[in-house]
Amino acid sequence: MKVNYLWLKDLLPGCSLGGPESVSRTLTSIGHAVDTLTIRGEDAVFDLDITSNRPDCLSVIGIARELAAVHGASINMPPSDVIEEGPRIEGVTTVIVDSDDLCPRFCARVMTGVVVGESPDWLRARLETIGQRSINNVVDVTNYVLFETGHPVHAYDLDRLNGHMLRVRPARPGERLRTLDGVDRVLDPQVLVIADQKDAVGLAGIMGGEATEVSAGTKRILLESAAFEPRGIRRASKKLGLRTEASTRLEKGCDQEAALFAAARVCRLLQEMGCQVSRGYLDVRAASEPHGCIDLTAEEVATLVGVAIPIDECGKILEKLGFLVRFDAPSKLCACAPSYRNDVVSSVDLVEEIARIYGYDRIPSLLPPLDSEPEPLVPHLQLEEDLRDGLVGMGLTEVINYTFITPTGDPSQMRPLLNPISERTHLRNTLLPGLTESALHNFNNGNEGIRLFEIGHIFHLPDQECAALGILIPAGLPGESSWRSRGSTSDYYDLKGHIEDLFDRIGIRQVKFSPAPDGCTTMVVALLTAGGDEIGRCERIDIDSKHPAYAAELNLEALLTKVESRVSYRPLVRFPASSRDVSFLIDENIEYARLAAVVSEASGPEFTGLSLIDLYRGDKIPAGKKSMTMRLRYQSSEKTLTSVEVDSLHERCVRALEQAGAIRR
Amino acid sequence: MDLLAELKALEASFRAEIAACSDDHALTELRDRYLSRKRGLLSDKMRLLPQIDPAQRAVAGQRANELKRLIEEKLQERASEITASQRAAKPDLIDVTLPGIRPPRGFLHPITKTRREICRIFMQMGYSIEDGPELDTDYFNFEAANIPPDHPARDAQDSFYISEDTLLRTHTTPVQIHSMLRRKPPIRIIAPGRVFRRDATDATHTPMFFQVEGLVVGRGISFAHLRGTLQTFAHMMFGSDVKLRLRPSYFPFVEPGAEVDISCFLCKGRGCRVCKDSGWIEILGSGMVHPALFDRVGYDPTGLTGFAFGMGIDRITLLKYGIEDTRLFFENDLRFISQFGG
Repeated sequence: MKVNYLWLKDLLPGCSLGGPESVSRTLTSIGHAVDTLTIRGEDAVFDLDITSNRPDCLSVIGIARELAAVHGASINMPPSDVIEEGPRIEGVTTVIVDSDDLCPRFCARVMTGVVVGESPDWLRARLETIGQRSINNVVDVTNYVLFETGHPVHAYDLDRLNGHMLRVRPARPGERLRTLDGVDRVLDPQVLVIADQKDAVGLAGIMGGEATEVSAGTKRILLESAAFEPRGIRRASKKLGLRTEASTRLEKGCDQEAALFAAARVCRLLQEMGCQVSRGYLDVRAASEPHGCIDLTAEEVATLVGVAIPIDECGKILEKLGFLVRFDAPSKLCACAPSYRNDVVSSVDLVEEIARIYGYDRIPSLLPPLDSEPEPLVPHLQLEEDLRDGLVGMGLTEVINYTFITPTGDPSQMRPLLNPISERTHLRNTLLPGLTESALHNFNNGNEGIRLFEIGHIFHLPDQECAALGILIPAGLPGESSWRSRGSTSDYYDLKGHIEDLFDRIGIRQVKFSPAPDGCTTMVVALLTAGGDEIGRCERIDIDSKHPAYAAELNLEALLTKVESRVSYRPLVRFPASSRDVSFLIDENIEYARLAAVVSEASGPEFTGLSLIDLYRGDKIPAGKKSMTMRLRYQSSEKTLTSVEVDSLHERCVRALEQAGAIRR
Repeated sequence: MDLLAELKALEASFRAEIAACSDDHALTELRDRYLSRKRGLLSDKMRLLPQIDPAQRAVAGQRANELKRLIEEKLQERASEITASQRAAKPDLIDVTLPGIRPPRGFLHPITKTRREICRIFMQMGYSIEDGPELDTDYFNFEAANIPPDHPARDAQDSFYISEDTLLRTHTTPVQIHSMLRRKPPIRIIAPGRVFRRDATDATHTPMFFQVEGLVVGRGISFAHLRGTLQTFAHMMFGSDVKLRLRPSYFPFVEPGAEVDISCFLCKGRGCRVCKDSGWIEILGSGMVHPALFDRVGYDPTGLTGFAFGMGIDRITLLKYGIEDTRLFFENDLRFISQFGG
């Protein structure tokens, strides 16, 4: 909200505000942050960021009250006394409030002898400083009073009101109203309207209607200055997609006691411009409870703030802010908030009032006593951090993608957003599309070394949310090359190697990679299981038509249950190990895992490891076969194995391989 | 013709010659001279085998093969001796200025780096780390945080809904509520995580961003403790010369509430682009836990107080490194991510 310096000075005569910069600092320090300060000659405009609990500060008077409290000054309220003449208002118009729960107060005044025309220069200039365009004298005055008091006042052309009356009622189903902005609106009973005898003539607290607007020919006006139930205004404003200076104030709750004053201010200013004010006013108000008193003890202040502020100083601060304060006991007070402070309802609110005027910068800095026991990182977060460190250590880079995606696959498997703001309309049920998008962005920008991972939540139907890890390694591209060697081309086995290495690092053993079963999408290359439970899958994906990649997605909750102790120490074996190689031909369709199992079953405790050191497929061997060379390691923890013993152990394994179909070369 | 004697003589001459070899080139020549298929001295002898007396042939053949193996062995032996002596005499030619062979390098996302930095500081102060679901109910996101339906504070947190009652959390405050329900005071936690607001994307807004919120609940916890904690954090995060400024502000879940600024670490308060010439940079929101929250989680509020604070990880990362556009965080360009170190 914009407020200008000279206007504030008018309301605070004799108060040494100390120039715009000083005012700006003061306002910021008591909770009204100045976004920008624009100096304009002698004047200056403050653009204030008023928090939503302080609608009273959406006005010049409200800001002046705050400054007065800081400086211990009093505010010079602008004049609202008028000379009344002509017939009494009761004989000219009536106001009926049907829903007094939604409209607790409705004040009305009538003015005659109105000549609609240009506003005087001072008024035009002042409105201009706060960014308001001049329309005509009547509208300008109501606007001026809105910014001055924070209370909206609306002027109707009295002679265009059917029955010369106003009624506050819910809109009828399908009722139509063309508002001042020229928009035809269809209403429903959830919207409160101001109506005349026949039709709606305004949206209560939001905007008036075009049919009864003050225009060049207007002679008599009816002023409305009302208070509405804030939630009703808020709902209607949201529903209609219409926010105005009036609604932004009324939806936060306004000072009911200011309604009459605001109407009188409009009368006073228009009278200064030559209009006449009819006798009396209408004031329809529901029974309202006055603000209750709030008890506060010095101890409460000291506990919450952390510094002992004497109770009489607390009382003085509250009084400066307009509270009625009574001291009940030596260290206790009882405070009653002014009508414009609907936000102060409990003792903690009083404490904030005291603390902010006392000065947040006067509160000392202390560290809280450490009375809670520090805890280790919870296992699932520890796992995520270990995975990140492991993957970065292997040369992968972490990305972060949006949780919502544009569905590429079957959208019926994803949860849609009810109110998306872009083409990202669904919650992701996999991390892979995001990784693909990131990879594509990097390819398109000519970046090298694209090997990516992301850790984040994914969402499955009906209402499952779980943490996942996604890894993407482009296929068919050479890795980083150097002057010494060309990088090798990466493929599925690089992805698998990363996963195996990662699992080693985090203490997951016994993972099985099995070929995708029938029924999986063609993209799935392998399923990962541990102890019979599925923990993830590997896919072959296309980043674009030129760039294939291999990607994996792992379910971190499933993974967490498989983490064994990362370290299982075994004493070193003192006797040397021996290894023997075996080369053989075998049918192409026999998997490596099968052969490894054969070896491991056939071998005794001296067998300590197996590695595949060569794999050949090609025209130098019979069709349908592959050639493999395995290296088997043997070691005893009790003695040095002799060459003859190793040969015999090895022979047993080789024979088992032969039984499985291997033809020794 | 005594082939055996000739082989013996050949062996003697080979032994003499190989001892005289002092480089790889000489060895290659020697090899050719003895073993070359066409002209090799030994190959010549072997070609004679079919012509000799069959009684001698087997023995001579075996000898010839033995000699061939011996020559090969000796050649290899001598070759490694030469290599070793050459290395000893003259180290490898190293151009120390050639680029080193680097292992592939990966990078953590800058948001992860900042999150870890923030979490580490609070863990050093004895905080535990909590997390929670990104999809939560309206109750936990708003009502339990003292933001009832139609509350003006909901304006600033326009939300993505999945159903009437389920939304993507707009702050990590629901984690505080869940934690309070699960724990008993004293509590000292921080909750980092993704949050979502229905903001149009621009240089300073993305519909998803990251927050860290902290919560301390106990007996005698005061605003002074909040101030001290945040000051310690600011000093550790931004340097011990930054100053702290607390301004009254409003968040429905705290009272009194405070917005927290630090003195601009770039211009040292003189005024620059980052602090918009004010000398101060807003970094977080905070305050004393509103008693309504204790009420919602069933704590007896008598004598119980607490403070809470929340900050945007993205924002702090932007500020710390002078990044001009927050959208870069989710573009995942390696040229960007790789600038923040492993």
